[in-house]
Amino acid sequence: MISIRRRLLMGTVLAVALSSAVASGAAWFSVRAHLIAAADTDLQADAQRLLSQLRRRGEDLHWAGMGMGNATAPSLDGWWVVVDSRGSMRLSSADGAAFAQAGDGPVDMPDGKPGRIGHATGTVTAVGGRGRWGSEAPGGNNTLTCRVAKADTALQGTLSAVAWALGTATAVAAILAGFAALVLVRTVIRPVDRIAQAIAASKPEDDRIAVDADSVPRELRGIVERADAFLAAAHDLLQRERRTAGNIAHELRTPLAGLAATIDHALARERAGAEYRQALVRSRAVVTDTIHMVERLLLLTRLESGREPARRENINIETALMAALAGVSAEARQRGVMLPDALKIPPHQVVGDPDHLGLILRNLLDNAVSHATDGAAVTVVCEQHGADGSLCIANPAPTLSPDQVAHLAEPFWRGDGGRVATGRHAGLGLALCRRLASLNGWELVCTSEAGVFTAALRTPMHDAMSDRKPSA
Amino acid sequence: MRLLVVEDYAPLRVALTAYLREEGCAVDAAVDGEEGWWHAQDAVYDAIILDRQLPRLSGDEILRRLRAAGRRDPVLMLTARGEVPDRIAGLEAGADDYLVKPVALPELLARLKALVRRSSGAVQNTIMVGPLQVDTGHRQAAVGARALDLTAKEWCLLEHLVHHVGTVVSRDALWEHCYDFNEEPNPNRIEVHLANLRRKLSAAGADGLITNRRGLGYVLDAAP
Repeated sequence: MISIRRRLLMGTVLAVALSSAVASGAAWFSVRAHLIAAADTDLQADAQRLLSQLRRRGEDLHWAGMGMGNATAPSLDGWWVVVDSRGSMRLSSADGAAFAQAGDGPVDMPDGKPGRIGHATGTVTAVGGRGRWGSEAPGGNNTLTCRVAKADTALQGTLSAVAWALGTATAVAAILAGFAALVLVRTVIRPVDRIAQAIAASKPEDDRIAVDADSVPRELRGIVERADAFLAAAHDLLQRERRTAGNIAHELRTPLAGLAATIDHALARERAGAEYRQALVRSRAVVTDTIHMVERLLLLTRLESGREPARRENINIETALMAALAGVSAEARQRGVMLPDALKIPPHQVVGDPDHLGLILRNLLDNAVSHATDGAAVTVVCEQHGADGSLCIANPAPTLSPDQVAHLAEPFWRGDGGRVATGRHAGLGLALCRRLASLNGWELVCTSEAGVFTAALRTPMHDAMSDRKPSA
Repeated sequence: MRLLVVEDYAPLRVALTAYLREEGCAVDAAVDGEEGWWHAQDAVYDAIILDRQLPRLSGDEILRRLRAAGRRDPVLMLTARGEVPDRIAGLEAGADDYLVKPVALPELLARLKALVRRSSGAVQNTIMVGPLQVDTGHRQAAVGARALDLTAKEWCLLEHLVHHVGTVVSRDALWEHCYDFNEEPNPNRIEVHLANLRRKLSAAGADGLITNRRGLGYVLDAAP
């Protein structure tokens, strides 16, 4: 592939050379036409002079070769001939008879050189007692045509010199254009080169190319800005991937450490069968935690890559809530956390994926029970606000700062920086809930005020889809 | 060796504590940062195993408070954060060692022993006190060519006395070193174990190495 620099160089030189050639050609033809016209005018003037001499002498003319003295012959360079109105030759110079019938324009001279011929026509009155040609009475008029032929060597020489001059000028112009184009192209291409080199040298870690958008020509600024935007996006993606990979590794290390320690301890000495069994049971619990976390990570990955499908069904929110409450009731009892006995549900249904809603509710209730202070009450409130509904789950908990609340839905982020690092509270729950809500057209909003943490799931309320049965 | 384990992940904490106890250590375990700080304030430990990311009070904060209080208890940070900046931050916060999870328990124990040895000023695992030779690395004691057959508590007492050669160690300090928080304080048990230890030393030909300073405590010295 030819480089842009060479293309521009060749194009510029070719364009200048062609323009010069066309201009030179036009100039040459113009000069040629002008010189030929001048030469023809000279010939006509000579012919006119010959005709004037004939008029002055009339029929008494006696010229060389025609019985007339040389002294009276017209002083003309080249060849000449005089013909009458009938086309009969009356007078001529030596070898001039060959041009008696010739027209004006280029002609070959008797000596073989190229030349041109011109003419002049006029009336000559016969004088004396007898006419030179006998038929005309004295005082009678004769219409004569004088033709003069001259070699145009000088004209051809001039034209040749002009052609050489123009050709040389064209060649010089092309060469100069080449040099000028070299400098011009280098100047023009420099910013492009700079951008290309900067892009080629950029690494995935870079968040912008090493070119300041303000320092490049306006036409290229868009490219730099776009490249910067792409690099910034790639950089963010890379950073996020690294962070996620680091977080996953970090989250997996803790249960793995628990598993390894349990096994190390069991193997540290010979034990009774019951002790080995106890170690196996503990190990299984760790593995269960880890599997749970891996499943959450896979779900998060599917959600972030848009590969998690969402069904659209009428959901009976009361049934879904009761199922989720039943899932956390054991831990709530154990910790003395109170859960609502009865729920007031507005007569509307939520449309979306029932599995997703179930997962969201279980996560939110699980968080509420886990992080509520011992003996506190978790409240669940369903409300309708115009066309929208909201489901709020609240629990007493230390108040988080607005900055902490803003980070709540980030994967692996933990409010106190060190909650129990297991698959259950690995900082994935709210991240999953928020993405699941978004996938279904809902919105999850978390607030932490006056010692109460509230997770509100806002769902556009729809009338029941009449053609489908609600599912829990 | 009296240890404090501050770890919020239950399976790890349970296994670690059980293993260290089986190795003859007196271990207190804390489930979060606040409980860990409470224990750390209450007793002087031969070493503290501290997780960095803890609920309620971070490991870094516990360490900062300990050092601010002038406490020099050796601290081994055991954490899942294994990046170089994390390790640097942990060590600069005042940790004496930094281990990344998961870790093999025997390695953890070896590091703890090394920490205790360094904190006592010893440069080798084997400490000689007169004819008594104590290998803290392999938990072996011998008088000349005769190996001593010691129980876990006897070993614990001997190890503590060996690390404080020539210094009178009170019964309370010996108790603190050999029994964890859950044990009901009973100085008589120390007396019983020390009597047995002295009898075994005497039988091996190292009589009089451990002497009782009435009202003060006990001292291990080659030239009493």
